Amino acid sequence: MPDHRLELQDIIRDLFDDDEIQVTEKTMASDIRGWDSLNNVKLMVKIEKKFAIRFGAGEIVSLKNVGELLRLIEAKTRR
Amino acid sequence: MKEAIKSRLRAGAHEEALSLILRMGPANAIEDLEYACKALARIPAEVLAGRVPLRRKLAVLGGATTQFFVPLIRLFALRRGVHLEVYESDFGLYEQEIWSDSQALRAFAPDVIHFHLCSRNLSFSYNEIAAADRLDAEVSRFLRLYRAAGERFSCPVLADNFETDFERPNGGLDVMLAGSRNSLIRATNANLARNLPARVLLHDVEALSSKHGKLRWFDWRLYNAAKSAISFECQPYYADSLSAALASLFGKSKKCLVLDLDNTLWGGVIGDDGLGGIQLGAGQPAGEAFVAFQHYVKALKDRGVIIAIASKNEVENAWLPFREHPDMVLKETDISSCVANWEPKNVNLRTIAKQLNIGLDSFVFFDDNPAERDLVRSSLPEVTVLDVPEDPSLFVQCLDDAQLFDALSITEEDRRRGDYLQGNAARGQLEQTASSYDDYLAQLSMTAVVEPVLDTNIARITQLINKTNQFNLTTRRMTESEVRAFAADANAYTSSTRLTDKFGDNGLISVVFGRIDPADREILDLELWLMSCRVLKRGVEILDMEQVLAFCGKRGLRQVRGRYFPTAKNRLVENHYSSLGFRRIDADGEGTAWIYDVDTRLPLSHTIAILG
Repeated sequence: MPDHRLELQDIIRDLFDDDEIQVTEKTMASDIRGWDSLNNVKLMVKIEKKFAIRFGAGEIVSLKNVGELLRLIEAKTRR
Repeated sequence: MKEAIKSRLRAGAHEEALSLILRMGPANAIEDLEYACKALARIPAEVLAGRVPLRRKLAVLGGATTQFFVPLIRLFALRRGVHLEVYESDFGLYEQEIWSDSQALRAFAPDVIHFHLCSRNLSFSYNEIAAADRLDAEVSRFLRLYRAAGERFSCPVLADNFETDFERPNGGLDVMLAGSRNSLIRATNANLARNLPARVLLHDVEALSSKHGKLRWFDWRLYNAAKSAISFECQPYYADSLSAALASLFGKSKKCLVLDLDNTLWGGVIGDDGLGGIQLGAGQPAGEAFVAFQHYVKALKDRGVIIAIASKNEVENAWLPFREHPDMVLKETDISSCVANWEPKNVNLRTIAKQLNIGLDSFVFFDDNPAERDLVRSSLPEVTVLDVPEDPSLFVQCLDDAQLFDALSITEEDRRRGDYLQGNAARGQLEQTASSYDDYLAQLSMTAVVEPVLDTNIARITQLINKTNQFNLTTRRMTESEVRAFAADANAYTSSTRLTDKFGDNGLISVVFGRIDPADREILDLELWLMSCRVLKRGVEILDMEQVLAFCGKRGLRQVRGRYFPTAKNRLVENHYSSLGFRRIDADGEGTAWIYDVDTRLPLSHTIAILG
């Protein structure tokens, strides 16, 4: 199974311009400075572009942490 | 781009990083632009202040989300010469900020207030009844708001107009119903434009969104997720258009457009092709494109942009199409300054700046030749150099997209400016930028291939022999069979040079033919020496001379003899042999004769690497 976590970590490091950011399954938006709702929208658009997937209107709202986001990405890329 | 900036920052090369950042425009990739915005924060304040000293304060009051594109406005404004400090009101509170006399806004003391709006800020619903009343109410709401903003905060106001929707619930009837949403939006825009209070300007988002395509401009998903009225893809274009308006407000619009002539205002080279040979006018696609471009330039001139010319040509040749070509749109009287000579263009731009008495930072340079553009860009960083596309059909869009000449109004003085400033095609006495020119040549990474006449190049050689007029010492024409016969002679010397530089292959650009004198078997007579003017003063002349001397060495020749036969078109090369170190000798007939002792060292050098 391809390791999307590392790719996601790259995207997040890029977006927040910080090469030190460590992204684990437990990471939440509140852990990273600047990860507000607008940057969340930006992040989702970048993820969609990178993995060639589309998030539905309600899918992101309930995600609690990076782990759940990764699960969603994996489900969509598997199709 | 991103990696280039990153590596400069890591190395602490802030000035270089800033130069790269400031080269970015709205057409660059979004990731590069986003990174550039972040990278700006890493540039030390003094470096930024030194590069862009003009500071101004922009207040952005949004009826939609502004945070995504504000960094882009800062970036593009910097590029245009304005260092902006930006205040953003809380989401959606664009009216409250003004009517409640916001303390924060007052404390900020803006130099300009921008209202970022979208059609969703208009309360028109579908299928309007009493459309005219709703229209008046909305138009008044915004006009009063803009007037109050300008008066209360004593500054100009820049307000978005409203983009029409792409959905049409009325279908085909939409455009015919006065009360449809789109009809009301259009009427609102028209009303606003006609009734603007003093110091209030409209930013035409309707035109911008149409140009880029409403389907690309508006992203429902993004609007629903983040209330952003503009897609990520189009935000750079919005930001750049806004920064053009801001630049003009703060006096940073460009004033002068400097144009090349050959292959910029017409197809071909006037000095070689003559009036009948250049492409200009109806009938051929290239000719049409150049006419269209001239019309656009003329329109700029008519509203006050100064038009100047910097061209590598003899002066008479430069003016010839203006005076005699029936399809020329631009006239001599449209040109305020013309420098036509064989000097490097950065030198000529300084001349023009002195003649017109305006700063180089108000210049825009438009030239089809990437090598010229590179020279100007590297030696005159204040000048804006456009990335001119290869296809002349795209010239107008290139110039128009850049939006460099925005004005706040057009006055009678603007309309007459060109006539007032019209000067002679004169050369100025200027400091030579000799060392930077040598550096420039060295970094062109030129390589050359030198070959005698071969089956593979004979056609092109023959073509050059017959069409080159300016850099041509003897103007001797030959047919292909004559060339073949010449090359077959055991005592003949033939060479042709192909030049490549970092911008690409220039093709075959020079031809030298000689023959050992049958009477004195130790002298080589040069019968033909010609070169394309496009590569003048790049060192090819010296390279070709080196090749001649190498041949002489191999055959044990003592001297090289050259003739110059003057014509109406080749005054350019009357000192060619002298500049290579030849001695003048007496000769019969027309023109001049020259001689060179083979064992004399050539005093000049070049930076071209010879391949093969």
